[in-house]
This record gives sequence, structure tokens and C-alpha cells, in this order.
Amino acid sequence: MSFQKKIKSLMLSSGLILALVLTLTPGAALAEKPIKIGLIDPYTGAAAAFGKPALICWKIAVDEFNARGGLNGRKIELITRDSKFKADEALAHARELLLKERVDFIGGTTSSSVALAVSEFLRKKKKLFMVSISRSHRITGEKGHKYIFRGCPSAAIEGLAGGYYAASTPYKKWYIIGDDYEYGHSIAENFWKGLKQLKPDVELVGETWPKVRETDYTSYLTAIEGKKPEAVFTAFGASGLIPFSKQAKLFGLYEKFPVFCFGLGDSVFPKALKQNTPVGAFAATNYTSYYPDTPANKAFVKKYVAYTTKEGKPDPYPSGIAAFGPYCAAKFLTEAILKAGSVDTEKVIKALEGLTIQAAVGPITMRACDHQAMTPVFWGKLAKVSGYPFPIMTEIVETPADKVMPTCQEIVAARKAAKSK
Amino acid sequence: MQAERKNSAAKWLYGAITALVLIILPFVLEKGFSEYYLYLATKIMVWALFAMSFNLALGYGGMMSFGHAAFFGIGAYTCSLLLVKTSCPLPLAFVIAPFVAAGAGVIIGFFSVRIKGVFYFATITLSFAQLAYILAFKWRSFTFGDDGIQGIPIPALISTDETYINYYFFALIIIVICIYVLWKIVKSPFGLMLRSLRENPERATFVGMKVENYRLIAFVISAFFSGIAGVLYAFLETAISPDILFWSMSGEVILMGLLGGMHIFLGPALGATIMVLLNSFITSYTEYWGMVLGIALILIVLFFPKGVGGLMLEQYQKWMKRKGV
Repeated sequence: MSFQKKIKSLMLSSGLILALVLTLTPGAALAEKPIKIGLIDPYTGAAAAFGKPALICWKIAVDEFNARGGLNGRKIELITRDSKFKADEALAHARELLLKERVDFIGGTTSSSVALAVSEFLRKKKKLFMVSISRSHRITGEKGHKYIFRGCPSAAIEGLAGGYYAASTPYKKWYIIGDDYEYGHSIAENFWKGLKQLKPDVELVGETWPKVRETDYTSYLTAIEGKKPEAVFTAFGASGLIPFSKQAKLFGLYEKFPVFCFGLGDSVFPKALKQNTPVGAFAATNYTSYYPDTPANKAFVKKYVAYTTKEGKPDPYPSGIAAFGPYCAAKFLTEAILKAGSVDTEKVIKALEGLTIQAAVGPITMRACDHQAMTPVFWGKLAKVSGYPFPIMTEIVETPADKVMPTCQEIVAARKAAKSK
Repeated sequence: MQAERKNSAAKWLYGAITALVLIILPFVLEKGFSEYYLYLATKIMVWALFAMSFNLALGYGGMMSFGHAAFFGIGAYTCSLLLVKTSCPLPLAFVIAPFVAAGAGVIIGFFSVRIKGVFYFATITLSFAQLAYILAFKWRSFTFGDDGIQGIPIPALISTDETYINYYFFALIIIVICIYVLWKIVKSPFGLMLRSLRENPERATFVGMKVENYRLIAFVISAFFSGIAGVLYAFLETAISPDILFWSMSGEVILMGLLGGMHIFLGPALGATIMVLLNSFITSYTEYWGMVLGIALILIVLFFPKGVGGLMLEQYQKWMKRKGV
């Protein structure tokens, strides 16, 4: 046999064996079958800045559950899949997790379009889906259903709170710029709704929607200047906010106009932006490590630091979007499993409806009518404060969720309208 | 004469066995393993059709198209948009979609087939496909942009909500018909001329063939069947996003052709099987499936330039020869 032939046959046979092993390896047979939760989030690429902290927080909640003895000895096992921030990739994983791994629940999703795709699939398959980062109001609004829950805030809460906050400022002529995808439109729509409610005489002088993953915002920035607004609202999501903020800073947008931006108050963006974080901008998040200054919050930060230290990257500033939200979502699910005393989907759904958890910002309740967690929003002005490596929010205004959530009647009407469309 | 009869009897036997396997397979997979494998089997068939229709352009026409995702995506989008936005009945939407894909094939092909050189052909088809991608991505009011289309309404008869069995057979019937038609095309005088063009375009021109016309027809047929694969994909996934128009999809289908063997009729189908299975199993172990794929490809191009299908055929022929002696 010649050398090449030898290599050929060697490779062919090893390939065959590998394929056989891969297909036939059964899951480790355990005496006590664990409760399986499938997590779909971006773990590679730019959006991994969200997926990775989220995974740590799911682990914290799951470890807490397991440390308490689990459900009659049954522990939770997390199975992760990389969504790559793409809907079709995530959907393929959801299918595999459900049909092959036979997970009991599915959680995660960062991109709102990913959440909507997975949600539609799980509605048909009648499996519980706990959203932990995605924000679009449609997820628990018009596209909501029995099997979807969201443990983190929605853009309806955060946008409306932003609108109310902006209404307390003197600006009347507004310009909106945002990522052209589900989340961007969702938060901008709600921001404008809130602002218009309290201040009917505001005027939208212009809006522009650069495509997702745009790299050059120059033309959009000059367009803003041309319209001469009094203030600008930016509606960027996980992938767009960082490149946009950098270019806007270079352009001088923050010196030229008062800028309102939801995510900039969250530690995940200033951590990446560093000195490019705009001081003086109006910003917000659903959680900060420095406000409220309560023992519960300190305990959460301590735990988060311990877990991130174990991973080799100690982080004393847990993000609201990427860490606290996912922790709440995971906590809701684990508490509901205990309350239901079962992993049966229908029973856990019952247990989740109206469930209250004790979180770092105070008690949070899962509203029964739309399966949306009632989480507060914090708006403030970014300023340099000694002791922090990045600008943080000052003069914080807290808006409780019940003030800014759409009513249950509105949700019912929206779902009905969406169905008849 | 006798050998021929024996040969055709063997052919019928192989055909019957294949048919039997394909009919029993879904029941075995669903009952014995999991619904997931049935889904995978259906996915493999859809990709196999896409890869084989693509191969009419590459393997038989010698056209290195880097933009076949456009036809696949246009088929999927046309059908989905018709179903979501209008009250168009499903069978009609199913028929319209591949014709729209073929229409796109006429436009793209018109500009591309007269270009000589593999590199330029690949570049121009790639640019057209990216144009389609950007259109789907940016035109949010019409295509739903980056959010994609979810919940494509599919009638209960072929719905995948409860089981994939019905859809498996629906896809199987359509794909078998398509593959049969492709086979007839490849074996027809037209197919032979196409191959002569691929091997030696100058000589074919001297014989009096209109190179561009033949290439254009092959390209459009290829686009048409890619469009059918796109529709079947949309129904299987029930959700689509602009990513199915992205160049990486075109890349994937090229890889399937290379992997399976582009000069063998069923080669690309084999490539599709390997790719889909590898992807599905490797991604449940690691996030870096692209790396595994890359290494596999380098090895295949270096050691088995005829693809896995070519290698298997070679071995089979050798074995037959030995037996004959």
C-alpha cells in the first residue's frame, strides 16, 4: 500500500469511527435524572458580552437551587447553545434541545428577533420559555402567549419610563436614531408614546434607522445636525450601541445636543466604551450596583464578584441588562419549580403567574396576565464619580413598573388585534 | 443482452430497497430515536435538493456560482411573504416562488454567463446575491428586515407542530420528483452538451453551440430548483431571516458539492448529508463548529479531490473489478 493510500484509509476509518461514536454516545445515565434547562444565548462574537454574564447569573440561581437540595433531590443542569445572535441558528438549537436533549425548559435569548422566533416554536410545542435579556415589548405584548415568560424588563417599561423622564425636561423638538430591528423600533415607539402622553406638544423633527451591524454612522450623524433638534433619543441594541457611541463622541453629538439613551446607564456599555462614555448624557438601566445602596444589593454584587473571580475576570459592577435581568429570570424559574413541586410545564406556569421574588432592587412580581416581570427602571445623568472606572448615573429617578406597564386590558386588546391581522 | 437485463434487474432492486428505506425511515427514527432525527432527515433532504440543483451549475455547467443563496432565499421569501402578507393559497404560493427564483436566475444569469473566467463569474454572482441580501435586510416594511418572518402559516396536513412525519413525506415526494427531473436533464442531449461546454468551451463553440444560451438555461433551471428547496426549507423551519440570503449560505452549498463530489450526480446529496449531520452533532459539543468544518475541508481537498462520493465510487468500481476477475 502506498503512503497516500495508507493515509486515505486511515482517515476514512477514523472518520467513520468518530461519526459512530458521536451518534451513539448516549447521555450519561444518572440514577437521579436532573432537571434540564436549555439556554440559548450568544457566546461568541460581539454579543457574547451579554451572553457570558447572563450564563454566570443563570449558574448563580441554579447553584442556589441545587444547594437547597433541588426538587426532592433532583438538581438542575444547564445545557448551553450558542445562538450567534441569529434567529435561524437559535431556532435550530431550540429544536435540538427540545427534541434530542429533551430539556424541561428553555431560557435565554439576547436578540429580540431571536426571542420571537424561539417563542413561536415553543408555543407550538407547548414548552415553557423564560426570556432573560431580549427586550422588545411584542415578546410579552401582542406576540405573547401562555408558554412565554420574561423575567427581565421589556422595552415597554423602559421606553415609557424614558418618555416620562424626558417629559420632565424642557426639550420639545426631538430626533430619534436607532438600530433598524425589533428592539430599536420597540423602545423608540414606547419612548415616544410616554413622552407624547405627558407632553402632547412635543415634535418629532426627524428619525433615522441605520441597519443593524452598521459600521459607519457619519452620514446619519450629520443628518441629525441638519434637522436642528433640541434633544436626541438613541435606540440602539446590544450590537449597535458601542460603535455608535464611539462615533457619536468623535462627532461631538453629546456636546451639540442633550442625548437620551437607555443602555448607557448599564455597566456593560461603559465597560466597553471606557473613556468614550459620554459624560452628561441622560441614561438608564434596570439595575446598578451602586443604587439602591441596600444590603440585598451588596449581597448580590458580592456573589457576582465571587463567581466572576472564579472565571478569572473579577467584575464588581454587574450589568443590569446582561447580569441582573438574567438572574431574575433564572430565579423566577427555579422558585416556580420549587413552588409547583414539579417540572410539569402546566404546573410551573401556574406557579409562575403572580410569583414574587426577592431581588437586589426589592421584590419583583411576575404579572399573571401577560407573563411580564414588573421591574423598576432607573434614569439619571452620566457623570464622573471618583471611585468608579467609568461615568455612572447621578440624580437617579426610579420609576416603578406598575406606573409604566401597559394595562392587562391593553395587552389583551393588542393580542387580539395581532391575531385578527 | 443478458448482462444488460441483469443490470436493469439489479437497478430495480436497488431502487426498491432505497424506496423502502426512505418510507420506513421516518417511523424508525421517530419511534426508535427521537423526533429530532426525523427533523434532521428532512433537513438533509432539503439541503440535498439545494446542493444538487446548485451542482447543475457547478458540476455540469462548470459555473462557479457564489450566489446561489439568492435563489434559495428568494424562493423562501416569496412563498413566506405571499402566505403572511396576502391571502394567497399555499399551493399557488408554492408554485409562484420557484418561478420568481427562476426569474431572478434569468436576470443574474443574463449578466453572468457571458463572463469568462471562474473568478469573475463567482464575483458577479456573489455581488447579485449580496444585493438580494441587503434588500431583504434593509427593506423592513416589506420583508420585516433583520427580524425575519416567524410563524409562516402552514396547513395542518403538512404541519410540523405535532410530528414531522407528514412533512417528511410531503418533502420526500417533491424532492424525488425534482431529482428525477434533474436526472433526466443531466442525461439528456442538453446535459451532454453542457458537459462538453464545461470540458472545452472553445471546441464546443467551433462545433456551433451557442455557449451563452446553454449556460443561461442551465443556470435558470438550477435557480428554479434552488427556489423549490428554499420553499421547502421555509416550511420546515417555519421561520426565516435574511441570513438565508447571505453569502455564507452560498459558501455552504459549494462546500457540500466539493465534499460529496461535484462530478457525481448524487455526490452533492452525500455532501449535504455529511454537512448537516456534522453541524448538528458538533454544535452540541463546541461553539467552534466552523473550525472542524475547515479542517475537514482542507483534508478533503488535499487527499480526496473527487469528494467523498468520488472516493466511494472508486472503491466500489475496484471491488466490482476484483469480483469480476
